[in-house]
Amino acid sequence: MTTRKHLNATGETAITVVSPMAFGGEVKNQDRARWSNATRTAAVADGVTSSPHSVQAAQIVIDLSPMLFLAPDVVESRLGVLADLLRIKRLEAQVAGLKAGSSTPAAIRSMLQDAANEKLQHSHQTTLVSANFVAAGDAIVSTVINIGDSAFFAFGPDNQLLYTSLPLSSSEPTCDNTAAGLSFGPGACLLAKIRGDASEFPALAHAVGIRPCSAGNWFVVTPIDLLAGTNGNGQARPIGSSFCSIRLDEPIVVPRYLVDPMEDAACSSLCKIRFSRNIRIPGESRCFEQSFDGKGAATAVLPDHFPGRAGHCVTERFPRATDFLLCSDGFYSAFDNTTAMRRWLLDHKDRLRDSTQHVNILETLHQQLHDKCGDDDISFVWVFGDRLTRPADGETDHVV
Amino acid sequence: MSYEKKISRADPGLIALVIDDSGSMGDPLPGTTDPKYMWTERYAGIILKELLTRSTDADGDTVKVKPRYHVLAIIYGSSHIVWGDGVLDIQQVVEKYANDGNTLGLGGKIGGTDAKGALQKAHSILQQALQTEQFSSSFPPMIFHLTDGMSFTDPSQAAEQIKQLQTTDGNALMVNAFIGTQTSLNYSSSEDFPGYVDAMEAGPSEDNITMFEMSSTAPETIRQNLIEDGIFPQLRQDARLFFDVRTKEMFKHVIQVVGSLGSRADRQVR
Repeated sequence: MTTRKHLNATGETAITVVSPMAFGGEVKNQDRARWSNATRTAAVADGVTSSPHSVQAAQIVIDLSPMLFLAPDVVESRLGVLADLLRIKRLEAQVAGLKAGSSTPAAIRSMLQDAANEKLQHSHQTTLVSANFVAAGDAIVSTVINIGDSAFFAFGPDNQLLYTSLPLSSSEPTCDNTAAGLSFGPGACLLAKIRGDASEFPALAHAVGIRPCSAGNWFVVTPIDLLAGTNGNGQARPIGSSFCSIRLDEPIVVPRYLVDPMEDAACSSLCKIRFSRNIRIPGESRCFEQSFDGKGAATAVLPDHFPGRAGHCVTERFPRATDFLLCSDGFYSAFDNTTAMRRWLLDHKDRLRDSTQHVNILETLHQQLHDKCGDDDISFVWVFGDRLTRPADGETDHVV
Repeated sequence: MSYEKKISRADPGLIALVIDDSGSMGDPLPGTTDPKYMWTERYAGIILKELLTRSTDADGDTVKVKPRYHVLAIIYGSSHIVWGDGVLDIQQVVEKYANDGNTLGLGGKIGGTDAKGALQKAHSILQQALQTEQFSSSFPPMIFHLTDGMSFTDPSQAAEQIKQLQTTDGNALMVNAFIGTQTSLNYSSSEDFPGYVDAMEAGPSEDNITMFEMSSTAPETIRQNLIEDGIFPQLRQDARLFFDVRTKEMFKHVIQVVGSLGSRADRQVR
């Protein structure tokens, strides 16, 4: 077996792993990952195999990922600059050209040259998932950028899946609420009446997938009105999209950290709630465990799919003790679902931090992935939310 | 789950092209003036180049072939010919193709149509190949059968035997493309082609129904690849890998089914 280097960097706040493909007769090593402790930014990039110079593209986006979040209002425009840089690199590669190797039989040299020229039209392609974390009181505000099938996950203190950037499959149920409801989406703020915490409403809590042990972390509220921000056009949307539809006077279940009580004592039962995909709406079947089966072979990439698609950038609030995971598809594809993936991380946390033991567990994981659907590069950044509220002093960045 | 394996050098994709070169393939393709065998040559050449492109990687400033696909080609009429020495890797295939003047040597010149004999030969060669370590764990092979007329021998049993061949990732996939036939399915082009889910849609011709039933159901991986690549964007779930070729445009898309094999190591850009 070719000697490969598993790259692993650990600190108090994050664990970063890049592990090249081990089986399959291919040499890849196209994943790159970074944790920037100074800027509290994580990033994973997965170069596309069929794209020449994709490793260079993955390295560029990783190196520059912290600058995407330096100014909150211009995240998407900075992503545009990054995409343009990759396009320039592509033009330079086309001028430089690719040639058939000297051992190529003469009969197919011309055909191979045509193949090379065609490939250069799509050089420097990479996926990117990157996130910035800001501690805000008892919550963590995270801005997530995602292009392609690398993914961002958030797991709550009880290991429940709070957020996934992967799209819900078309076979999963969509929102039941009809156009009679309000469309509640990113940027919007809801005025609601607090009914009590979810432990007082066990049937409702059960219906929206909240376990009894966690019910105290959730409020049941009744929407009264939308206060401000952008909304949809009033029509119900599939829950895989950013918006959800809510009915006035019908209870929804909201994580405690999203609830801002009104300051006026006369309105103590009222609160403001900023939009989050973590809000649970009865009648809307949500995926609290995401399956990784049936993933197609297609992915969006930089630079080709920016600009052009909505939803590259989203901001969410999470409880302080949330764990965050950014990873390439090679990592999550080794598992059947998010529960299994989370279990693996927790079971191997200490060994991942050990400079010798991590090699063995990654080799085993590569075998697992190979047996399931074929090996691939594996990379991830695991960020511990409860550490983010501490000062960043003394901890070095991870760039692997 | 089955049909999930990526195509790679260690687990390469295996494709068998079983091509009718009987006398009727010298007749024009409906809607054109060129004979059917000439269109077959054109589109087969395109797909071989596509498989070559997928098997090339840049290494610094050079490009190298890493064979991720292997091809068996059988050309038949009243008898059959194994093109090349049997199963060839994509570099060997393209080399022979180029040395032969960029042609498979088709000409509508092998008389009648004995599909049974050709499929039996394909079964025999594939059975041996799947017993080797090279293919035993790969995405299951695809047997792409192209014909313009019903065989004077019954190929149904041979097709069933082929569908029983398997790798660790599932059973072999039998694809049947019938040039020039008429069915009951209403569609205008590859853009709205929904696929054949029910035998009645392939009818009323008994020959069509036989070919439909010889064909495997498209696994979800294949179906998604065909949709995402824009080959058949409306293909229904549980559609069979049976295709009627009514036009040259449909012919071009049907032959690209060959390229839908596998959960590809080189992820396709949407």
